[in-house]
Amino acid sequence: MNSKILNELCSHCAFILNDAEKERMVADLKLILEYVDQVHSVSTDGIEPLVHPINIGYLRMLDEPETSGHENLTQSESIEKTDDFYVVPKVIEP
Amino acid sequence: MDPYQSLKQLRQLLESKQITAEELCRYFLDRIAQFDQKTNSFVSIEPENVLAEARRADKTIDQGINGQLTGIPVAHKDNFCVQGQQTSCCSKLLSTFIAPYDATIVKNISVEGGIYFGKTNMDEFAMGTSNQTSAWGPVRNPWDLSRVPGGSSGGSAAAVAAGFVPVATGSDTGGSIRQPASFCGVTGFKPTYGRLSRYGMIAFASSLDQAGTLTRTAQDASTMFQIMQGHDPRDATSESSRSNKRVSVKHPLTIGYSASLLNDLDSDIIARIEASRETLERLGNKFEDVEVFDQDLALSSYYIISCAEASSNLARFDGIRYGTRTKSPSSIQELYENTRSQGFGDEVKRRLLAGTYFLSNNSPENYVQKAQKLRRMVYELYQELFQKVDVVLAPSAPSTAFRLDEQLDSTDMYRQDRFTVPVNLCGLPAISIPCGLVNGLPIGMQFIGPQYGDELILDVAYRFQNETSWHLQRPRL
Amino acid sequence: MSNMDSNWEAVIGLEVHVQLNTRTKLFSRTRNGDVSAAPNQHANLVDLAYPGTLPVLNQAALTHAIRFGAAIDGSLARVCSFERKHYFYPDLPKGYQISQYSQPIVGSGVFSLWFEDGHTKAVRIRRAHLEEDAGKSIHDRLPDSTVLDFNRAGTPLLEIVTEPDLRTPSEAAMFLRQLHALVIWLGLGSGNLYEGAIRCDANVSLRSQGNNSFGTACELKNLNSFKFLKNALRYEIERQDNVLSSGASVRRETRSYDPMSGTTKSIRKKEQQREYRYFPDPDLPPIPISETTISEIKTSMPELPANVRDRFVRNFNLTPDKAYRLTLEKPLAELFEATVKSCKDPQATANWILGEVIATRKRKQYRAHDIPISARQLSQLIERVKGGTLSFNAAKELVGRLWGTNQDLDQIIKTHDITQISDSDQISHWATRVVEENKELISKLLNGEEKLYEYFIGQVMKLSHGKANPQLVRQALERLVSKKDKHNSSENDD
Repeated sequence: MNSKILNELCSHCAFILNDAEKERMVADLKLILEYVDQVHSVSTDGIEPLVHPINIGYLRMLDEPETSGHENLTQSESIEKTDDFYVVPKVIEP
Repeated sequence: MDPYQSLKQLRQLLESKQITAEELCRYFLDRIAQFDQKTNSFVSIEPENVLAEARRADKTIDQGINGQLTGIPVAHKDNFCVQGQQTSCCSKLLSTFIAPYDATIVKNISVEGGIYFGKTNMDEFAMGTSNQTSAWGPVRNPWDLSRVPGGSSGGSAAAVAAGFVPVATGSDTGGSIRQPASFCGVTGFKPTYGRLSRYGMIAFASSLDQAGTLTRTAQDASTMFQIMQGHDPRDATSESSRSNKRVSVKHPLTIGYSASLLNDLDSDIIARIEASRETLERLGNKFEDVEVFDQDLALSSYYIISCAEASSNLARFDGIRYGTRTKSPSSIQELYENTRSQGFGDEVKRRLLAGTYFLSNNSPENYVQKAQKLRRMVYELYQELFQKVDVVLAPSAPSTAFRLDEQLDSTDMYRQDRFTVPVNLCGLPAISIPCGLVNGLPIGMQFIGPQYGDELILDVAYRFQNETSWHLQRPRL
Repeated sequence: MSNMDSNWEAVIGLEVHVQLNTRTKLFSRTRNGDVSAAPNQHANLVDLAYPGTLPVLNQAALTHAIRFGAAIDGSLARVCSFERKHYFYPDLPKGYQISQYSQPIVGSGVFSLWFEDGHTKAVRIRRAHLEEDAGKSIHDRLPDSTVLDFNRAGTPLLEIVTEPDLRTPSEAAMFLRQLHALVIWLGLGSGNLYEGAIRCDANVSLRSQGNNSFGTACELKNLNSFKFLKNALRYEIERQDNVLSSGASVRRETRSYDPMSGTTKSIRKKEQQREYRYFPDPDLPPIPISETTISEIKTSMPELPANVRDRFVRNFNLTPDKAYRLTLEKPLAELFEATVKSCKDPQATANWILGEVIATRKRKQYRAHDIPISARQLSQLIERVKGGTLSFNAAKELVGRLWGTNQDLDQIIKTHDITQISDSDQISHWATRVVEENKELISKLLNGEEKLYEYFIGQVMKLSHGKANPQLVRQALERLVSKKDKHNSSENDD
């Protein structure tokens, strides 16, 4: 963990840190990694990853439209809308 | 009026019209107004709405068509959506978010007449074990205001402990119901993963999150559980309505116990748990020594998985469609970065960065897969274990509530969860109940059940509480 | 193309996104595919990624994917699982797209690509997987802002990925056209290219002829019509040819096609490729797919177009090209079969459908797959023409009159008084009159100016107000002329 990796992580997370925060965060993350790195010390050969803790009912939905769920979409004042469109600063297409 | 009455007692008072719902609610509102500036357990409460709802409840009581909770106050942790109400997860990013819908469990409670009493404080996005990461300020433990209530459901635990409400909902991703229950001397129940719908509960780590309750007693937890549980067609991880896997209730039990777990605990705490063990034996239960999974490995695996899932789940908070957007951003990049930089607190950022790292190609090995493999090892260990024993008894937390000014570094703070996370990794039910006081502070222990053994652990907790009075202890406010 | 006969061979693989025409979205119960809706009208809490909302898989989308898999004889996963693919973009509400990464619902299969001369080529399909579409970003509506419409967000997509088995731009375009036809044939999607219901990206690289290894490929984005695909590939192949021929090497990059200039330009270098951080979606437990489900879906499949095409050639002796064109659309093939069943004339039926029926549709600006003319109407029409009671030209016009009506053909003929006159006495009478009135022309005709027949036929048709059977008119005229000719010869002989 170093400041270069941290910068990449920040860009993936879409937030920024000031220099003091960065310094602190690098130290914290180092500590965390030191702790969790112990997982690599255990052999897990032949073991399937467990993603879902429980076997459940394999729910699927019927292909029938439902009209509720559109109403009451109250926005805070900081969210900008025009003519039912959400508005954001111009996205420059590459 | 005693603020610490059970749901059953409150219901009798209301049905026999010894008190009206309006009077009852006014009583609790007054109590909150009087004492909550000390604990800061509520983050939003609208007395006029509460009283209006209470008056409606009185009408239904008059008509004799009341539900199981008619007129009874229920507070919700601030990560449950309640239609028309602020639902902020105690984050600045959602400080202006008004939920446009009810979470399924919120709806289930209101269908039974429960009165929505307000939102309780929590760690931001449920990430924390001390309730100090809330954007609305920390919660203080009603037993000692210089101490934390535990987290992340600290507001709910404190509110129930302080007699502000008879019941509050909570959520438990790695111990967030049970550890604060232990710190605040209340009953904290985390059901089997999938038995309570997650729809409308703002996700922290989807494969670990489970809604539950903080109550005075196991009996109240059971009542709430019956009301809140059930299949939800809006949650693909919710228990199937056709599921027939319930573990039936029985007595006496074979209880698994691992003395080695207690090694590094304070001797006063060990003494309380040992004493509880004797009580349980007196009740006819047998104890069997069991091996549990290496705590630090399980905790590491939990930490990797929960951060990875969180980094994904919280990507939706971009300030574009809801929430608090940064003021007049000049570019889309600025909109994202300022909204999220200003909106998220330190602990959340730390976990999102860690989670992103675990998922990224930067890491030398695939952390997440490795953690999921370890997760399976924990899971299989518990499966085997429940072939031999009916339930497991374990501490809920490694200590009593610590002081707000105690400086714990990240990993020490995370190690608070070491008794609780294996339960979440395996989707097991667990209930934390008070088992004593140490230096005037409550301490809890937990019963852990096999999957779908919810009723079983509720029953053993109920029997224990019938024999003991630790759950009846009250803090002095 | 000049560059193709030189040293280089192009290697092309396609990634095709097909919007599925389910009634609701992939993970929510919002109405799907209503392109005329007001902005954000069909975006509910789940589609907008409101806090606390969760996805639940739409059963119909899964069935659609399995149908496609069965059609290309692809291997079908026995469990349906989803992963999250992370990136920030304003029209991606959750900050990740739910997609299938490690376990696509459809694994390797084969698409039989057909060529005009009737031969086919096996194009291997690497995989086809389910994923959700994003919303739409509109950049040109406001000067300094981008506006977002999330109606499309959550629309089920089937992403079909081929192996790099295509070799020329026209082959690639042919493939896309036939894949497009198959998707619609199976009822999986509207296939409306204009509305983005089928979108195509291409990977293309060059290698020296005879070389089996692969060169560095570029990914071309935004090739949303058969023509764009072909033109973009042509441009790109020429560009890479120039790069390689100058001794430089092609850079691995993503390029965007601009249909206005007909060129491609780089939008992302390889090192800038996004890191998606895939991981299994914890909200969606894998769903097992039983053998029963698969066999039920397989039995409910329509006969595949390739099969129908071969059958048309075999059973009805159609040319491969006609059979191909009839099987580009299921309604055409169905109209053909049903019509042949009653009129028993496959050649005439094929010609009428591929000719006047399609021409009429174009003229009336109906969409593909829309043919409001019945087999009964068409077979009657063919029979009347053969029976001589309907002229070919009148019949052509009648296709237009029948369009979109359920009217009985004979009724229309009667009402509009367009029954053809095939009474030979009457025709012979008119012919004689025309011949008598144009004696000097007859002698020219007899001297070899055969094209004057057309003039005579025209004159007879005029007398009959266009109703005389032109074939009978010609026969009558020929009879009269040959009589004259004999007469002349005998005169000469004398």
